[in-house]
Amino acid sequence: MTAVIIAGFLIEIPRIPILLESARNLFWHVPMWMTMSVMFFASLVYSIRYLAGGDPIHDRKAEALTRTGIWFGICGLLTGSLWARFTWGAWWTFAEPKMNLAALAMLIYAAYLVLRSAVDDPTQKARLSAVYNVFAATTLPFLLYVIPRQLPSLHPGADGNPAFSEITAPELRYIFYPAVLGFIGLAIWIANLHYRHATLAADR
Amino acid sequence: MQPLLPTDSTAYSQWAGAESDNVIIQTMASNDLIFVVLGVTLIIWFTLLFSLYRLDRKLTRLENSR
Repeated sequence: MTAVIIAGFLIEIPRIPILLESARNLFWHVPMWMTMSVMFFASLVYSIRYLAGGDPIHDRKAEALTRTGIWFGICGLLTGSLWARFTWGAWWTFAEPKMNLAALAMLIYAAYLVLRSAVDDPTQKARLSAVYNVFAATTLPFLLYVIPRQLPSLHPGADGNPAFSEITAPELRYIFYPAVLGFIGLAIWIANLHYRHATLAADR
Repeated sequence: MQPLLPTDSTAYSQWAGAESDNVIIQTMASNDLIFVVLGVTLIIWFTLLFSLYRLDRKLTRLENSR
């Protein structure tokens, strides 16, 4: 996994192929959202496993993955905002459904952490947050994939077609895919750190 | 140099920032938007760094409370 991270970063920087300068943001902005989705999906899996088995390890893993996913989502929002300023002309636009719904998804997941900190009893906290996580994860595909495709959007890939199709040059993909893998690897490592912290805190 | 196409990045930098008086915005819009990529990279770097710093602080607090 470390090798994947290193490769993801080393490959990216030396051979930057492209013409359209800010198109290089593809390697940064888009993997943020993919990483976030992977984190939230893995978190959903652990929440379901917690509900099925009641093992606190699964609860802690779900929490760690959600925390990591939120940080990557924040990265995605901030980078998207900067990119939007110089290609769409505004830091934030309410005409762009994906942008606003992504922010909404962030708030939904922030509420997960708020819920966790609001409940004192560990078992109840774990159970409530697992149920809430299932709810939050259910909204995610609709917020990020279904609704934006029903509305006019500035993002590529609106109007029904998948965002990553023939419009993406093959040279970009050689760097894009390792970047996605690299960021996911990095995120797994960060999530693991959060998990170990939660385990230490629980054992105390 | 004249832009060949309306979608050329030079044309972009004319409407997406060069109109501003702000020196920072103008700099960002120059050089075919390459500083936007730098900014995006730095945002990710500092956000993740900040998140790890917060985790570090939480661990310190845990250590001290033992």
